[in-house]
Amino acid sequence: MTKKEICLYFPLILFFLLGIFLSFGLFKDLRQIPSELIDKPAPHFLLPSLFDERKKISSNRLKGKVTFIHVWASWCRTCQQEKNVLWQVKQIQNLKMIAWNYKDQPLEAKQFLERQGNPYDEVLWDEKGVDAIKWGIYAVPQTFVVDKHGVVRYGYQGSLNKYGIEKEIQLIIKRLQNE
Amino acid sequence: MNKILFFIFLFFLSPCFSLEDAFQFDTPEKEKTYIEITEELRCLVCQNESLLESQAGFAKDLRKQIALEVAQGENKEKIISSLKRVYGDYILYKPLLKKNTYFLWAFPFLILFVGLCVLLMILRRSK
Repeated sequence: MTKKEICLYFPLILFFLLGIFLSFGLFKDLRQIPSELIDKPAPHFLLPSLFDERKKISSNRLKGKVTFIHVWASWCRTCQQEKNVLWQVKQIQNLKMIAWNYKDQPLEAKQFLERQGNPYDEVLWDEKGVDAIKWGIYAVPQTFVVDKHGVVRYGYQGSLNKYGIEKEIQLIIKRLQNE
Repeated sequence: MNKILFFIFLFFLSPCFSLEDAFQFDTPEKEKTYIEITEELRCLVCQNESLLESQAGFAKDLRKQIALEVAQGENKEKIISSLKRVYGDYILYKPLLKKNTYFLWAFPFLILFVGLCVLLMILRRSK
């Protein structure tokens, strides 16, 4: 190939290289925005319990034990397929499980838990989603793991019913429990 | 004539949908700040829309929160930085100029430069 030909084809080659580079973006899951809270103290919340509105649960309760927080809603289709994973997590000893019911009707949320079973120690009712903003929650389901000192150590956006996620979460919880 | 008037009025109707959750501010400056903030931020649910345009529940909640903070007299930078702390740089429509975005910012100029070089070469040869 002469110098002249290289110069002639240069824009075309550049275009193809750019195409290859940009095509990587097609396979990227744009919904998966990494949580900014990792390794930061858990933001404050003060929310009523779904089963007793007078009982307020605060983020101060997050200290002492490793806590698994799952944000869900009865109107969320994906949340209906997570039952098995949640019950698997429940098997882990010495773990606190908190459900964060997001912008839901209490009656429907309770019916959902009746149908799926309730693996949680506490169920928070976040009617308006104001506290959820502090936690960077923008869609459900979303999952966090908070360590014994109240520091957020893991965040995941999307269905737990996905290959590999269950194992990943179990490993993280066990690692944090041994810290 | 009536038909023309009808279409003129129809045209002016269009912005009404975005007034669904219009907030009242005591000064025009605050309203301006509110609009500026919500235009600069991205709705994370409908990712190609600003917070101001998006009709997603998340955007509505965030607009409400921002309106509340603006009404309380918080400044624009503080509101944006507190949201950035929680949602990350991704919430900003305009990417920041930092290490991992140098390429993003420089690339269009690089392409322009290469294009100009090629153009110059072709022009010179045709002479």
